[in-house]
Amino acid sequence: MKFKAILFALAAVVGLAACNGCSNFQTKSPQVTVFEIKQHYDLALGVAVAYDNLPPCNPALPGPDAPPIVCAKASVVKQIKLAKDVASPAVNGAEAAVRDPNFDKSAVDAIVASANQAVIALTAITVALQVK
Amino acid sequence: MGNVSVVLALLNQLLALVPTGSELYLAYKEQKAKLEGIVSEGRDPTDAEWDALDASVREKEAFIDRAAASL
Repeated sequence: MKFKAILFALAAVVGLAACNGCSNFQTKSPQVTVFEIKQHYDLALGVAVAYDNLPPCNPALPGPDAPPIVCAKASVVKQIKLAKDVASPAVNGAEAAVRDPNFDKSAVDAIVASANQAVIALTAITVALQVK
Repeated sequence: MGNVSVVLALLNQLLALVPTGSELYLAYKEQKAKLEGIVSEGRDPTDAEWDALDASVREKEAFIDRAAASL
């Protein structure tokens, strides 16, 4: 039987927030758009940190030393780090681009879309987190 | 009886997550309010607002790196 903790319900909120950002690119300035994407990234990281903070799962332990029911899988901790390592340069690159007064405005859409996709990839992991 | 103790253990562990969940929800609401303020004022984020967000992100990224490195 699988349970979803209150904590992980928030991941869905983060997921919805990330998608809202996708539809509003044209109505906000590039800086505001990237700021919003970075906020979503920060929230997704918050969920990931909470997951990493759980006691580690270790199915090899028997009896009273059995792993806690709510635990962090090593494979998921690694997956989160990989997604973070992809998203971080994309988001920071987008921030650097839009904060540069001489930035190439024609490249904004591609930069923003790339950063948003990277954050969505991380968000997808946090939304899928479940507590066994 | 065994099932009861498992359920109680689970409830205890889920309750321990509530403060973290509340903090995340609060952070979500604060960020949303911050963004709405910026949009309604029709301006770009200030350097201080960027710096605060960057610092928050860096702190969490460092934690994730440490967690993965400790495996």
